[in-house]
Amino acid sequence: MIRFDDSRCTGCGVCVKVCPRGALGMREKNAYCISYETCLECGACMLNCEPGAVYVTKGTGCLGAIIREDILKTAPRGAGCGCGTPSSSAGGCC
Amino acid sequence: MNIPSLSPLSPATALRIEAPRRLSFGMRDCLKAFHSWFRAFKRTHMIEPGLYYTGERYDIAAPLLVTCNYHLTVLSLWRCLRGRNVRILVIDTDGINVWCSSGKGRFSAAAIMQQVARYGKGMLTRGEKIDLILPKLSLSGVKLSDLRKQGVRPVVGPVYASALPAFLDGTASRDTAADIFWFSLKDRLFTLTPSLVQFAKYFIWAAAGLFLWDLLFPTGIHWQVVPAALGYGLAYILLFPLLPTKKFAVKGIALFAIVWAASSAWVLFQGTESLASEPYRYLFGTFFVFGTALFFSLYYTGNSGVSNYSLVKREIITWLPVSALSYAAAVVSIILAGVMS
Repeated sequence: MIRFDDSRCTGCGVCVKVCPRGALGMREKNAYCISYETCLECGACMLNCEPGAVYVTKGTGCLGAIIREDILKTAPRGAGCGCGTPSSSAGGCC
Repeated sequence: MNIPSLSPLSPATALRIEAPRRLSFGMRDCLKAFHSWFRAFKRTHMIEPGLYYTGERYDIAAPLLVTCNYHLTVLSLWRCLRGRNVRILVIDTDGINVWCSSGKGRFSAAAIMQQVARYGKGMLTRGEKIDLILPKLSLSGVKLSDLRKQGVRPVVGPVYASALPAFLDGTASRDTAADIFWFSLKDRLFTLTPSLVQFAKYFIWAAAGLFLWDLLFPTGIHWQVVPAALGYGLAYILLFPLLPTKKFAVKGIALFAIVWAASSAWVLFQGTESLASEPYRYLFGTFFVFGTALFFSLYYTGNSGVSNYSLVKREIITWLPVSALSYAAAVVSIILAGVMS
């Protein structure tokens, strides 16, 4: 989920510049999401928006991570799919 | 987050400044990279974080790139930049690639500044600011303004390492905003082997179970599930952009519909006698392929690189139980096929 607060947007365009999928654009000096399905919800726009005009529900769009974090709740949010844990036996994806 | 500052170094600190190392890879590294790729991207090999250079000697005027310490990534970067004199700041991402580590917050301004602090400003630039070229895929973890506050001038580099030569030459055909991750056929082929290797392990266990069942009650179905699942996965990855909608599960169902229609036509073409005599085997095939179609399409979300968390979560919650039910129906069918035969 990505949301924009037009009252905070300064139209600097940094969100458009950092988006790795070209999912964002500028309209009447405000940023907007061109295609929600194209957005990866990676959060690059939110992190780099200085006025805080972008809000993104960040998460790992991966079966293993969603089962662990959202369904079974055996791992904290942001733990991901198991890659990056001290033991690679978790079967990471990266 | 505590970001190491780039304050003037004391003489004591200056003594601890480390020397950059020349980056070079050999055949052994290529084998390591292949192993890393084939072993489904498990982080078995890492590069020691630090400052490296690719030329004959360290050149403070050479472009300074930042990357993760995943062996395969650094090797790919080095290959793309062969014959060029560049500097590469390898940061500690615990052996995870750029995209995944930035998503987890490991590829961050703090991690970059930690490495910068090891070498000091004098080693990295002759000017006031340190120019750092960042991979565009790192920006979900790197806050550019945090780097600027620390005396770094970040430059957003290309998504693909292969685009770096043109970027460095100033002849890149796309500007930063237009440089995007496409998930092209080449990208998908890169995910092909690791995805299938990861996926195969589940079906090897399934084949072993079916083999044991076949010993007790002959059904003639055991090893076939492995190539069937892998064949489905292969077709899904290759046909990904051609399958309808952007939803992974719907793409999976569409491919199932094609496979099921073709199989049914073949069975009917052969005559209906075999269908009438072995209905449970056909039911098994239908339920197994449907369950696999959904399971693989949901499984591929993590390897695809184009998955939207909220949409994928919704798909998983909707379709994973359907996949499980379909597998349960396949198990009942194979039990009946064995018992009734």
